Amino acid sequence: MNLVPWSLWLLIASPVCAILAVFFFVRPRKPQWSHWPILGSCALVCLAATDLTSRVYAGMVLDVPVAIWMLGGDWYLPFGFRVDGLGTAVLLMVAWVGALIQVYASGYMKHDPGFSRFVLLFHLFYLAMIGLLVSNNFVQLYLFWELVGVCSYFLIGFWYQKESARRAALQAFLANRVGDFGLMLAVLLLMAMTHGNTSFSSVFRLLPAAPTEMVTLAAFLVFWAATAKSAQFPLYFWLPDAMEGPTPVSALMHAATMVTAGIFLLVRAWPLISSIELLPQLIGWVGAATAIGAGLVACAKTDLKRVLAYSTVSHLGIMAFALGFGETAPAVFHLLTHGFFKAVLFLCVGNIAHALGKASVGVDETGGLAAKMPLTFGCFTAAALSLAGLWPFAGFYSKDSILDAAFHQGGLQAAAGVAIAFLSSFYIFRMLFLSFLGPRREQRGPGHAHEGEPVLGIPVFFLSLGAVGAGWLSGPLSRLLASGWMLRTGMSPVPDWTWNGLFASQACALAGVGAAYFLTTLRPQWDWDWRRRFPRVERLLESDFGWKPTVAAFSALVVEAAGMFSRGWDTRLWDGLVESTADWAKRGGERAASLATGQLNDYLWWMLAGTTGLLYLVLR
Amino acid sequence: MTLSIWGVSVLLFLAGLAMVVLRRQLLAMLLGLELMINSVNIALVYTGSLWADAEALSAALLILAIAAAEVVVGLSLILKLNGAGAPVDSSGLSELKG
Amino acid sequence: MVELVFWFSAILAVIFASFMLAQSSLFASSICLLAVLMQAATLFFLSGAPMLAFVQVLVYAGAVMVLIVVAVMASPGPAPASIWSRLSLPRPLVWAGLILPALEFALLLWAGAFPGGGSMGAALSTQNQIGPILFGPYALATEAVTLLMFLASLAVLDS
Repeated sequence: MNLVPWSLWLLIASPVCAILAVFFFVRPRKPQWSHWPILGSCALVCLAATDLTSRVYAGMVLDVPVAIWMLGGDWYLPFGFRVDGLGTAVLLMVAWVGALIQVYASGYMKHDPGFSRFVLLFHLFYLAMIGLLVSNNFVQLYLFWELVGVCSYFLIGFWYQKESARRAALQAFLANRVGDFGLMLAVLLLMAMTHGNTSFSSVFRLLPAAPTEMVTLAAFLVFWAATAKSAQFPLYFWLPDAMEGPTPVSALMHAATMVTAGIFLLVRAWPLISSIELLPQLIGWVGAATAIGAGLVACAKTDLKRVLAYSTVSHLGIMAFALGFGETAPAVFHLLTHGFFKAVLFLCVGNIAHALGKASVGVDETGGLAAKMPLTFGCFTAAALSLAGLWPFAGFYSKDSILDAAFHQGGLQAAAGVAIAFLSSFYIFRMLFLSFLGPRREQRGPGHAHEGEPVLGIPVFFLSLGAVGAGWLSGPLSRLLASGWMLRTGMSPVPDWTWNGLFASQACALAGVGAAYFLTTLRPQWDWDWRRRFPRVERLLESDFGWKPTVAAFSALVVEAAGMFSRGWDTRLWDGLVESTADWAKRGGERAASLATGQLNDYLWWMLAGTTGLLYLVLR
Repeated sequence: MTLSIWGVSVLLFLAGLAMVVLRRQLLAMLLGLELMINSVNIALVYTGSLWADAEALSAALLILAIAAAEVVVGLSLILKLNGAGAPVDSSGLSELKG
Repeated sequence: MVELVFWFSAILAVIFASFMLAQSSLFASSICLLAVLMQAATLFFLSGAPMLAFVQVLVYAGAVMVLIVVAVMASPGPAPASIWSRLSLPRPLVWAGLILPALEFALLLWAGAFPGGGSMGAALSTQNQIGPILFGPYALATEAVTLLMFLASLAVLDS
């Protein structure tokens, strides 16, 4: 215990204390002050995270069991903390981005009647995510994974009076549940193989000795769970609808942190995943398909938050694409930079919405905001440049390492890399030009928009600093990631960029910017015209290439089948059983009573029969 | 010979049994009862004198007496049951029905 | 010769018993029963117990049958629609209830180990010992039967 640093205890204790204090003391009396203890806790968490990171950077690796949850025979479930390069890298990003977004949220949600509830739930989510990152075994990770999902449900459905919000929350929860079921099965399989002790430090050593089918199944199930949480192809559909939640929620959960939990799980479990023959390649293909598909859909969306949602799906696809090459460090690096620039983008959209006085904005309601909201414009541009992967912004470093690997492989992967680079740059600059330049004929224009209060502007500014500069830390990051976590042997964790890769990726990105400029500013009506001219294409993109109706039909089928089955079972079996016992008793009684006829001869016959029987028994 | 005597005894016993179980009138049942008792008596007397068992013969005599007494009692019961009108037969004695 | 008489009376007994079963008139049934009982007396006689044969005739032909016939006459009334009772069990079951015991008896007779068959017309000496036995070891039984007959006569008193 004495080798557990104080910062680790502080990391967990301060959110817990803050939540309890606010819930029991502040909320009943002065709910509008709920955010002060929470913000204090955020500061402490950032402090603790930074301290832990510096320790790990200096070479410390910590994997301590703290307690034993359950014990039985030679089975036991440990509870503990693991502080290593991977964990602290993501923790640092989550802590700072989370803290800044909570500052933003305390300003954004100030006038909402549910302010106190929001702040509490948001901080609970923060705690859950931190817990997930420092877990030292699969079961504990599963616990926090579920907690994160629960918080997501509450926060997406925060404005529960709106039916669309309720539905979106339920959809998100159920889609994640489908994935979580896979994770539960995987954890159970691992527990079966390791007698309950699924610590990351020990479980992977035991895998070669376990039956291959179980290991393969566990790996696939882990990937399935990541598919749901990190919005990959089959189970991504909850994420765009999750934009029903308030903008800070979208920024933190569905851009920077929660959705990256899936990628984090894959990297944590990488020894398991990479030991299966073609699973990494499958992950790569799924990621590429998701990235390109979501990118295409994002090009056609008009609601600003939806564009960003599909962009998130696309970037998660990029991370999975990176994992397909076995490049775990670049995937993590992209996770970190994505956290920064996506948060900036969401918060800028939040500022726009706040300025226009609505909850969410479409392209039709904006246009020409650059002059009225310069700070937002500046941060948005910085983040957009980062997302597009243009040098020297952060996104360039992370994306380039991934695209390098893709181009190195050549063939279809290279083509996918080109498409991804082009598409991501195109859709974000389309969004930027449509909203900030103009206003065009179909757009309403900026109206009375102006910058919001400082509390809305300062966090965005700091986050955009991160979006700009995080990439320059790729060297230290590599050293950090190498500490205590296995990476591909023989290669430097985050590969340096190559000239070929640089030219190719910059060319694609600039082509995207150019195309966006052309189609939005030089041909200002394009974005509305093509919908009129190609309605079928628009329908195709609107339905996510047909996946949305498929999911709807499938779930309707499942629910109907389940309903029919359970109703039939209930009415026919259980009701029938209960109601017919009385009937059976009555009929049985009547049959038995029919023997008592009252006829003398009948009784005599029975006496004779009985005596015959007895005689038989005696004679036998 | 023993077999034939016992065979006769059995046949008469079964006849009496059939009388009791199958006939409707109570008097007929009584007759059947008598037949059953006497069939047993036949077997008893024969075997008793075969094995020179005087106790068997005395038992047969006693059984004879008892059977006679039983007929008396049965008849008086039947006469009691028969009211003024039609005689009661076994289908009328149905108080145990249900 | 004795065999002949035995077989004759045995067959007669069985025939009259079956007549008795099927007669619809109670009078006829009683007379058939009387015939059977007389055959029984014959069998007693042939078994070497003539006194029992006489007692049989005396008691049954003299007393019991008279009583039964009187009772039959005392209960007039229309003959019932059917002399057979309405059993609530199905017919085959009723037949089975009667045939099974018959089979069991048959099995007993077949498989039983009987002592070697004697013949009819045994010595009288056994019968002569009835008296001492009745009033010796079976004295109690004799007294009880006497009491029983007395009580039976009481039963008739009320009616």
